[in-house]
Amino acid sequence: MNKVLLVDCSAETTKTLTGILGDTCALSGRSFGDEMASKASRMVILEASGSVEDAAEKVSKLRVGCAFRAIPVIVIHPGEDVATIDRFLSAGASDVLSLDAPPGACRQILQGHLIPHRTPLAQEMAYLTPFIENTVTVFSKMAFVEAVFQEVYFADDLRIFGDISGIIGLSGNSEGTVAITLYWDLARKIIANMMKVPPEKINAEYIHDGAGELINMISGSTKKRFKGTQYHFDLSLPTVVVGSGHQLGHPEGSSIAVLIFEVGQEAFVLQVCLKPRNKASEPGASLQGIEL
Amino acid sequence: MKVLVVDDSLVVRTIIENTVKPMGYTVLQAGNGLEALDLLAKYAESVELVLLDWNMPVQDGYETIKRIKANPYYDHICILMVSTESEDEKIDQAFAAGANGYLSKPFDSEELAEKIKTTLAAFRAR
Amino acid sequence: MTANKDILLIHRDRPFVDKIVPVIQGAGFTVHKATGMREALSSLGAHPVGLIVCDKELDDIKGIDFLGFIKKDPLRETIPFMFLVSQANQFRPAEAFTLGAADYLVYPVDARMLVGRIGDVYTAEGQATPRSQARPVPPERPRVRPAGSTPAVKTPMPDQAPAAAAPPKPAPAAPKASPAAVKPAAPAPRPVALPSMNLEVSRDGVIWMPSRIKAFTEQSIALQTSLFGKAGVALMVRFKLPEGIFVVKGHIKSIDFKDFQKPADIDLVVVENDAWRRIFRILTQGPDTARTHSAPATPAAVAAPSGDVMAATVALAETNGEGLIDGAQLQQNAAKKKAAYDIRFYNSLIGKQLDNYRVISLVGAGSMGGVLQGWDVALEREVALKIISFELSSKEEFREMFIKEARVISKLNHQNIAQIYNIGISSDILYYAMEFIEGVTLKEMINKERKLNLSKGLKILSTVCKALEVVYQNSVVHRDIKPANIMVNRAGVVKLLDFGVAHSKEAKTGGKRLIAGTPLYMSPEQIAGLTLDHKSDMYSLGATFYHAFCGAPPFEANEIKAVLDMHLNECMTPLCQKDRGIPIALSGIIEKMMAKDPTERYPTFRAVIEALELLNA
Repeated sequence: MNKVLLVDCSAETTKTLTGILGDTCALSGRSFGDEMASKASRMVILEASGSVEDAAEKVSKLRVGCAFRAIPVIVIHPGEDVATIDRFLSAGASDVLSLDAPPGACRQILQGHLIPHRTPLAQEMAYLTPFIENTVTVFSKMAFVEAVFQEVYFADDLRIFGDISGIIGLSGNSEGTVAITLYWDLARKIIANMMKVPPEKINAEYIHDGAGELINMISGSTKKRFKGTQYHFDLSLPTVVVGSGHQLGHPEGSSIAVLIFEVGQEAFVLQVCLKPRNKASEPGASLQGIEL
Repeated sequence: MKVLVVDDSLVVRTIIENTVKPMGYTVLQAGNGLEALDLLAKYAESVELVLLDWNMPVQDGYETIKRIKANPYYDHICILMVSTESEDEKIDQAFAAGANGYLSKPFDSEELAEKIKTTLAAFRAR
Repeated sequence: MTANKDILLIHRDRPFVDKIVPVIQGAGFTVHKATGMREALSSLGAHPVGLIVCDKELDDIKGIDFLGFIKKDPLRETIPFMFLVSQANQFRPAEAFTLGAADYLVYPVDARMLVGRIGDVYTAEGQATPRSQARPVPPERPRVRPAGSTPAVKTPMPDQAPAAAAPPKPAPAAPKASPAAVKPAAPAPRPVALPSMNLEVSRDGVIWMPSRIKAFTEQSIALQTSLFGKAGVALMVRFKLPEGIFVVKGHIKSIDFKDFQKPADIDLVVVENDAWRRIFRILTQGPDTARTHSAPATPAAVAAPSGDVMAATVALAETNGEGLIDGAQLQQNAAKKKAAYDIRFYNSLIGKQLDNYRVISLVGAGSMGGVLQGWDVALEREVALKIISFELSSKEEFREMFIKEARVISKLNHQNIAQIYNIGISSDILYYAMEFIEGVTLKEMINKERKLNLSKGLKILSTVCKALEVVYQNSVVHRDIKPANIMVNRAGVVKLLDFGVAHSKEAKTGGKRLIAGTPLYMSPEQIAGLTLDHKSDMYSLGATFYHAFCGAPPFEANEIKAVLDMHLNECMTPLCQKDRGIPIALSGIIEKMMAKDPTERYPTFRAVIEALELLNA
């Protein structure tokens, strides 16, 4: 049974949702609190109330609670105002649903979200494994912490949900993007460890350099492993970005691998989007549209 | 005796300093090759070792090695390159330009200290 | 074109439209409204239009697919097309511009700004030479989409290469890295009040982050951006102005972060070069009045959406939304909404996996279900995934029908019939995997070339007849023969598609519940709801090729009911009269295929083939 968490859902909404999902999901309802460990649920459904900004705040917090897992966060909100929907999506929602929609449609859409994201193929693990190993190495050698790899799934787009990200563009035999994303608390701790200073002393410059250097070292050390292969790449300079909801594009025909690590109880992700240029190992690459 | 640490990242410079200081050195810091040369112009006699990154703005590590080695007053200075660049061609290139040692990132404290010792030893023995 | 002040606004959101239309009208334009492609096409057919402003998601189709469709229509491809999009992940500006879009705006859209942009498009159109629809291709891979609620940057009509060709002056010794909590220096004399102009910054020229300009002087720019930096870091700033795209280089003098949750304030010292001088002039004195046009950029390879999108969604439009013949407006609206939900559902599957099939993209959606492009991870080959729509999947009899359809098609073993590989249920979704065909549909060929080359058309017709002979031998009626369902793949092989409404003759239809087909090509007996046989397919095939050979369907009207009526009662204009170039004999064959009385048509498809062969003699 899929565990679905209903947040701030009215009795009526709960009833409707139970009718739609009750046969395949175990629903439990809570009112929103700042400490929501959404991580344990298969899906979170929030009924938006109050202002759009208030609701978006809640969405953000729920997304943080998901600890980067591929947990759909659905916002129940009437109407189809595009700007509102976008606000929610930027804040971390996976979809916005109006319960005015026919129950069959709601069910179908929610079921679609419940389908788990796919896991990597063997050939994909071949290029992901070095990234995983080097991330663990970098964190261990430079920050003296143990980063434990948790899981990987494939996302459709490269979206940042975190506070600070270090991003590097890749080009060469393969092209793509690699990004590390952390929340502030962990970012401060890691960089404080690296520099051997107390976390309170970490200022913006340290964070900038730290994030940039982390992604630089992870990508740089992984680059070596791909020398001579179709995955070989060159690195650009790291770009450090703050804030959530940013969307970076990705080349056609390749998915983004989201690698989740945990340092103690806190998580961070490495997003790897890598597409070998020559070999059409991804079907999208061969499809260039129709010859007319 | 002084060690000059050259890297555009303050974080890396601090990490290196944290290893080097306990070894008894005074640490000078520069954010790029040009700053490094400025500092050398002032303190060259007391500088024993330069720890140098490759990719930096303004003037990168490779250029800096060449300039240091071109200056006979800096003959006594040992150069250890510390960089994410880890490909053989790049390493060869650095050595050809005059680097005396190479350490790739990431590294831990012991590795760095060890590398410094062995590089200096080899340098003095030459 | 520039004189035509009629604008077609295609948008589903009523309140938005109500808010915006008066403002546009106030500026002297006439606004025609539509909520979906079908309405839009009617409108375009009824009056000439000077500009199309389109939302990214319409009732029945995606905006970008509509763009592709319009740009392939020789009568309408010159109409400028402007997109209104959200920041969400579906929109790819590069794709839109490659297809020929003139501009795009990101929500929230201010009515006055929209009017301003509309004005810009008109002015640019006035100066551009005909057919020089410059397709501005963004200079770098546009990897980053605007985040935050900032309006999109306007791209120029004729594209100009980034002007920052001049090498930067040797930068002064970079200031020693200093703690970042320093307030940016107050701008030197002559700060100018600015509208919030949008630009992008980048460290490496590959990843661009949106930013806003707050103030500027001759030597510096004060920016607000989520790109993090520190003093001394070199950045590039990209301005997209009507005059062109300009890239300016500089380095960060100081950066101020008050709150890590918000963007930073960066004070950037600029390298003085031509690009900056030009921008500075524009910023202080206003837009350049004299526009220089570079030669129209040669269109990049058009990444056209798959034909089936057009086919399927036009089918949706043609069949009044459902393939259900019903006049009630309520049902029509419900149908549109249902189609929209279906499309959302299919989209939510992208990136997920059903059994061994990874879902790549949505190809098209019809009333019965959707077609997605997939990848068989076990056999490592492309597949098309046909997924039953939600409404139908909840009803047992439709699930049965779906499965039966799969079985029916799998029995038909023929190189000109798209093959079925597998049928399955995964995560409660009923689907079947079939041969994925890449190529052109007859519909696209007609759109592109207006009418088919005679000998090419005859070959295709003959091949389809061969395929239909096999279909007939297996006691199957296709029931939806139309140009969109006939495809020629990249190897030149003809493929008959979409047996979506096919029926085994033995199957009980359970009464006259569903009348499916496409009005333009439906046989009279199909319209009348009678039992069908292969002769009905023959009629539809005749009608299809009538259209293909002369460029117009046998019966046309503004209302579906009228078209159906004509099939039932009216005589069609003989093909040779419609088009002098068509041999009388061929015209006769088509006529016989389309006889109102099925008994007067050819007895079998083989007979049709024989008649066609006589033509060549």
